[in-house]
Amino acid sequence: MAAATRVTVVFGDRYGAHARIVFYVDPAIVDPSDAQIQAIVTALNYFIRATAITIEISAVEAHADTPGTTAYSNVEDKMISTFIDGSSAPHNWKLPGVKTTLLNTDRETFLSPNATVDAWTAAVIANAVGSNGEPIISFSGAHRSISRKLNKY
Amino acid sequence: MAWVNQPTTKVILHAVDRRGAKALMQYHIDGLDLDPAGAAASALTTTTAAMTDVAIVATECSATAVQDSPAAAGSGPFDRVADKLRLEFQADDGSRTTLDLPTLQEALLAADGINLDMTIGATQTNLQVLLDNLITAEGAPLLATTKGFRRRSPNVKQR
Repeated sequence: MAAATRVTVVFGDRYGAHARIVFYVDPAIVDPSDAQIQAIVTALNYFIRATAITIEISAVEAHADTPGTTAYSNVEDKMISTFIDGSSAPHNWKLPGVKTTLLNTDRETFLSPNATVDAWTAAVIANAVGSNGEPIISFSGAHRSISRKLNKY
Repeated sequence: MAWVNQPTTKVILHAVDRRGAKALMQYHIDGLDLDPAGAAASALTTTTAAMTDVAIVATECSATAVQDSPAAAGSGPFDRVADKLRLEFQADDGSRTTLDLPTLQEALLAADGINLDMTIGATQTNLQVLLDNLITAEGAPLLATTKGFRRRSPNVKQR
C-alpha cells in the first residue's frame, strides 16, 4: 500500500479561472466522496472565495523494471490497437516500445495467434471499459506506428 | 449540492524507455477500485508489460467525483486564483510542507493585510481540521501550523 492517498481538488474563481490544491490523506481512504475528504474541503472553503468543482484521488504503486534495448524499444515506437465496446464504438490504445518478437516479418503487423498478444487482449476485454463505462467486447486489430513529429530511424 | 462519483476508475501506467523518455498508458476500469495491486489493475499492468520493451515503473489508480451543483464563487479584493494564502505546516518527521489556497478571504488577515490572523476562533478550528486529517506524501502526520500569509504567484499572468 502507498504511504498516502493523493487528493487533487479543483477550485474555480468568479472569473472562470481554475486552481488545483493537492494534499495527502491516509492511504485507507479510497473514495473521493469520503467524509474525511469532505471535512477537509469544508475547512479549505472557510479560507477562500473559490468554489470546489472536482475531487480526484489517486494511489500509486512503484515497480522494479528495466527497459529493453531492441529495435523498437523507444516510446515513440507505438503499437496502435483498436477495440470495440458494447455500443460498437472504437477505442484505441497505444502501447509504447513494442517488442520485436511480437511482429511479423513485415515489421508492421502482429503475430496471430500469439500467446502474449492474446493474453493482453483478453485482459483488456475482461477488465477495461470505455471512459463512458461501456464494456469492451472485442479486439479489432493492431499495427506498428511511429510518431511523425520525430526523425525516423 | 452533492458529490457524484464518476462511473470508472482510471488505471495509468507510467513507462520509461532506455533513454529516460517517459510515456503514459491509460485504461478505464468499471466502478471504484483505487488499489493498484487489485485484480483488474494488476492484470492490465502485467499483460501490458509483457507486450512492451519499456519499463513500467508505476501503476496509478485514480477516481474522480464531480460537484453536481457548485456554489457561486465570492467576490472581494483577493478573489482571483493568483491571490494565494500560503499555509506552512510542521510534520512530525521534521519536514515542512506548504499549502497554497487560491482566492483568500481578506477578513481573515491581520491588521498588516499580509499575515493570517491566528487569533480568530474559526480560523483555529479549521486549521485544526487540516492538522487532524492531512499527512505528508511520505505518510507523516502534521503537528502544527507555523505560518499563514498572503502571496501572489510571480509566474501567473497579472490581469
